[in-house]
Amino acid sequence: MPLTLSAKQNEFLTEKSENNLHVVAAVTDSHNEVYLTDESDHELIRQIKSGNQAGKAFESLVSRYQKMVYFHIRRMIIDHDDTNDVVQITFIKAWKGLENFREDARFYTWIYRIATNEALTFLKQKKRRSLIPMDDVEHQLAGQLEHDPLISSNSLQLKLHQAILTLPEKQRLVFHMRYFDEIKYEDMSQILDTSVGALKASYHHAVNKIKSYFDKH
Amino acid sequence: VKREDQNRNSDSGELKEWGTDSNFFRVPDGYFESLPSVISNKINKSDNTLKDNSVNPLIKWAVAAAVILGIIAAGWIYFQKQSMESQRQTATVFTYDELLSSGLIYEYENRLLIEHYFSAAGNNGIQVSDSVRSLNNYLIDHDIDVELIFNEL
Repeated sequence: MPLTLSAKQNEFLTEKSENNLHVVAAVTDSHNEVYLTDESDHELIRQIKSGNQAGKAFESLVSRYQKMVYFHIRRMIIDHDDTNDVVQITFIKAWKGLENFREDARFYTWIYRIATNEALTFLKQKKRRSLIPMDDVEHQLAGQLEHDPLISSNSLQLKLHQAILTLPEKQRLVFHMRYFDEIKYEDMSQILDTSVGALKASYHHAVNKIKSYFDKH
Repeated sequence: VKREDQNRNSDSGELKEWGTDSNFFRVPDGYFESLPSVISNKINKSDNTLKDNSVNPLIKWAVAAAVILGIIAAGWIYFQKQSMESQRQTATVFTYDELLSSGLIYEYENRLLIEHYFSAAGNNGIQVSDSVRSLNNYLIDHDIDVELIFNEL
């Protein structure tokens, strides 16, 4: 079960171990749940690799990261059913790739990277399959925001997400990760293979464009 | 950590006033409760399918080796047939005049003479069925005058 901490305990927890001082990162999702990672993740991953109740250990990893992965993908894809498919593909790929997962890597950046790639691949395929011009797929998604029964009618959020959908794909990703998931630029840099400077610039442009959208609408 | 927080606040402070989208995207009831087991089941199914479809590596190697040998054997047989066919076609293409002008008939006649000589001389270690060239070589090596053979006949 995820460990829920107060907002003040957010982002980093420093834990003194017997041997050395090490940092345990925590992930916050938009439901204000903070999950202890790294140490406990690696313990689960070791369990999976050793084959000792691997299925159960992997289910624990899924439980821990499912919301973060789901909402990250949902913000990009909008539709729940499509998101559900991509989430499942993401975790199945993670399971298959765990064998090659390095001990020094962080599971949360790794799963985030898989989720991002899968979401982008899905959108690319959707654009390829679509009979409408490529840019109109974003308009289609923006339209879906208004009519999807699994999307709240909160007008401010609706406007915000419609504004986000006017951004180029990369800026949209950076904005989601920074604004909603509050991922550090250093981690984003690992996930997206982009320099911290470029990410900051990208976020800055995204914020300005959203502000301008709000001014106009 | 503090610096990081300050950076974040300065980056998105104004936009944070619009709140988060925690309740904006909804999911069907019980979705997250069942998702881990749904994924587990899919993984189990795909693992079983993989196991069912997996073949003993030794059998794989044996099949691969057999296929390669089969291809090599088929290729060898094909080229043998081609070569025999081309030899047959070459033989039938020559006319008597062509054989005569190419010297093949002369060699043939020569061969008959030489074969006759060797059979009469008691097959001096050389097969009468050897090629004309090797018989010629034998005659040269042993300094035998062909004219003498003709005279003997």
